[in-house]
Amino acid sequence: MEQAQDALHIQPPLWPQILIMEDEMSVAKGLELVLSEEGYTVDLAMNGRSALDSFDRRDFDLLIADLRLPDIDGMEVIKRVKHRRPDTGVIVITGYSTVPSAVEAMKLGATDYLSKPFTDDEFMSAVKGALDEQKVLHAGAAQAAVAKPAVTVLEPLPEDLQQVHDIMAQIRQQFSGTREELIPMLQKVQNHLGFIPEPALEEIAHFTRTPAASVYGVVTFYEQFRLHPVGRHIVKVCRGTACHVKGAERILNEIETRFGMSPGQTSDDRMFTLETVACFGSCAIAPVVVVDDSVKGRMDPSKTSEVMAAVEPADLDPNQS
Amino acid sequence: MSYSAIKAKAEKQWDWLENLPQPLIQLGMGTCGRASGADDIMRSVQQTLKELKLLARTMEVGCIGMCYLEPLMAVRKPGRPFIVYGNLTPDKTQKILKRYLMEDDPCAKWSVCSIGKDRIDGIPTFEEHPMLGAQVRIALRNCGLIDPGNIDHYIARRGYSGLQRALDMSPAEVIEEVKASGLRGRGGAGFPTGLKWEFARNSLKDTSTIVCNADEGDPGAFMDRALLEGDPHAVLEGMLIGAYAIGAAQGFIYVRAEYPLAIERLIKALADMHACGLLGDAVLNSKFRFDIQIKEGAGAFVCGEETALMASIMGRRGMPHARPPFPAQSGLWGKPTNINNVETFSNVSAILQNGASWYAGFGTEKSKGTKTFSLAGKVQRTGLIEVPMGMELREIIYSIGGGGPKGKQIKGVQTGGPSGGCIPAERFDLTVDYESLASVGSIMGSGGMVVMDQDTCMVDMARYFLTFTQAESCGKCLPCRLGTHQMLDILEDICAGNGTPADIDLLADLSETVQKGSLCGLGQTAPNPVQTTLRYFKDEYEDHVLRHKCNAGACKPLFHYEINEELCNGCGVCLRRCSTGAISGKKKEPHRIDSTKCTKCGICYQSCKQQAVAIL
Repeated sequence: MEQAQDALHIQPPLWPQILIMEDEMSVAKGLELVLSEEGYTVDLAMNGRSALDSFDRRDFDLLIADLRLPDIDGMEVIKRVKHRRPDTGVIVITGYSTVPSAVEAMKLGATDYLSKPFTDDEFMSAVKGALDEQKVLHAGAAQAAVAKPAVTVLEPLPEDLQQVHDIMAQIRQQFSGTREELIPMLQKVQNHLGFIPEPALEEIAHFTRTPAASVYGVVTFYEQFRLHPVGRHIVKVCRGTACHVKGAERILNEIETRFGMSPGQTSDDRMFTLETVACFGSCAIAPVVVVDDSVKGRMDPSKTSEVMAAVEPADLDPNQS
Repeated sequence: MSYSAIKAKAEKQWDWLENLPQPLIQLGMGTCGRASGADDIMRSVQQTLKELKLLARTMEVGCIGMCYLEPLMAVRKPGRPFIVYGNLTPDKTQKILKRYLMEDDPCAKWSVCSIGKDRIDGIPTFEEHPMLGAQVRIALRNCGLIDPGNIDHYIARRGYSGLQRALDMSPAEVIEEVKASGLRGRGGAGFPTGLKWEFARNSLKDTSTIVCNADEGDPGAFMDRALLEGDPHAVLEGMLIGAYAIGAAQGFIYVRAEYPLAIERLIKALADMHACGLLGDAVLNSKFRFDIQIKEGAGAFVCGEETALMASIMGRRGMPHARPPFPAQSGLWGKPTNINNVETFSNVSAILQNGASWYAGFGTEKSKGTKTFSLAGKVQRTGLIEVPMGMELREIIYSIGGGGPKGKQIKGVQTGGPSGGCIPAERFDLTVDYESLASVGSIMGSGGMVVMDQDTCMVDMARYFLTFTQAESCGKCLPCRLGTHQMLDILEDICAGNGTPADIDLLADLSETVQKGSLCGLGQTAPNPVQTTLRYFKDEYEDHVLRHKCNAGACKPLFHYEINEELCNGCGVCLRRCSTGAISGKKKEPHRIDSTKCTKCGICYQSCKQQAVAIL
């Protein structure tokens, strides 16, 4: 029973965990705010001792270290942290920057060295750079993708809306505008754009002489239709009975852990949208994952990650972007 | 064109194919085959033939039903039977072609069976194969044997002779023939097809419409997809016969958008039918006028229900309405409408081709003929099968399906999808027909059959089905909309370890309310999975509620993994596959799992060959 309840609290960290070691409360709080707005989990340590204590308790992906601290020298803390866990990212922030200290910090394995004062943008780009480097470190073990927070709703791009006009012109030619053509028309729009933008919905309503609210009612009734744009690639995990019995849930967990997406969400880089489907009817080769239009049978969590990583290999390589 | 003219043309082509002077290579290119890599095999075949400078024909066929062996290939040398090879890789394909075509070594160790008249030493024939031999293939008679994109193949194998026979009879005689065959609707409810047609025929207030329901929404069922992909004309012929019998001039096929290949095949089939004069103003030069339109579904399970399906065809939200009026009285646009399932139509064409008494010779007293099942889940031979009604579940699961995976105990089987029930292994003496399945609280449904073993938690199974029905409830009837929601909440509590004994009683109570208070089949049957698991697997509910244990290792908060040090040989497979680094241990020494890092993904449990990872 106790073990069972313990288990409820054990969740792998989804987003990077960052520790800020800084004795000036105002600076520390400011940085914490910037980072947490971006979705990172942040802890504060006001001196070197408590920073080391924090590392005793758990691992962090990134240490933001001030060099002048009331107790231990910041450089010493970095040395010890790096000794214990070499793949921890380190960014040095200091008000007393000197060339020798910068050299020493880099030798110890710091990724970046920022002199105070710095802007939020400078700070964030250093953090992202450090975490990207970490990703490369981890990539050997598994093609870990960007653990950025996923987004639930994407806004249409101007290009999407420009296309509505052309598609509607085609639709007006191909269809006569009767009510029973409503669903085929909506399907056509979605086939082209991946979703149904509001202007298209209104034009179809007008064309079929149906109240826009009824068209909206139809769009929201059917699972297939989307009102918001999706990522470049759509990953569908089948949740049919056979897939469920053979571990579809484990695949969804894996995608959530690796890519930070729950069903219905799009990865931050607009690369993937994750969806679930009631059943693909390929139960004999369960569990099934469909990436774009390609059906993949007999999947497991690690194969799914591999397939997703292989969709756009260049995109997962931080050196290329 | 007349039937004899198209038949003559088709037979000529078939004869040519049968007597081909070169080797013929067939590849199963259904969705299952493609998902398992059939496209790569096709490329490998073409490349190998080029390299060997061999003249051989390749042909795409549908699914023969042995999905567990996909990708599959059948090779025939002139004057010999086909040899079927399974579990192919591009490399293996190349070897087989080289050895068989060049050196005349049939590679018996990689073969599955042979298809054709003679036999080849060391290779079982189709009839001797344990999965295929026990089957009687009527609806699936051509699946995997013909090119589904070639109408001539279907015609050459007596296709459309049933339609020609029907056109020579009066519509009333056709209905009598179907009634005499004893055919019952294969969509789930099992209503006699002939009777349904008679109702539609009798409400002659207007021209009627015929609909083929291919909205196969039941998770775990895929026979309609395989049939449409593998032999679309068998279904379309049945639809034409039905249209003639009830007096319909317009037909619709309502097919799921999730089945793109089936849609592609149908589009091709309809075009070919027009070209042969099988659709249009004078079908086979008769006075019968008929046309078919494809309607793509948009992903709503409830649209498998007749009245909801019609609402969807008319461009509305797919919500069911009360019956009466029945579709036969007032259906699409107020006209009489008759709706049959894909498999029903495929049986109709076979009945008209071979006669009602032939068909009635299969099956039981009340359930005639055969039924297709999609056999999936924890069974060795998964795939699509067709057996005579009245076969015992045991025979299907153990003889045809080959039993569970090695070392695992089969616990039960789920039939009929989310509307069906879970039948425990103790009741495997049950025969499959409409009545006996209903007697244990399950249903025939469309034919999904998912086998479950000791690693499947029945409470989790019930929760899974409720997640589905709750999400798919259209929301019209309150007991269904809120009842399924409440039931799901309770089941989620139980699976999370927060259930109480009172929850079990409340579940039973709610089940009855939802069943009685819902308008359509979705709500009426949604509690079936809960009721049957409560009836046959109550001990598992009690384990969850009283002892907070999930012995199957499915409900994460209620178990943990441990490595049995005596069984572990330190091979390191689990250590390498664990994505959270929770496993430690030296090579050849027992490993350990750090429960604080373990996410219970189960990869160690699945990958351990020693079965040293235990669920505690």
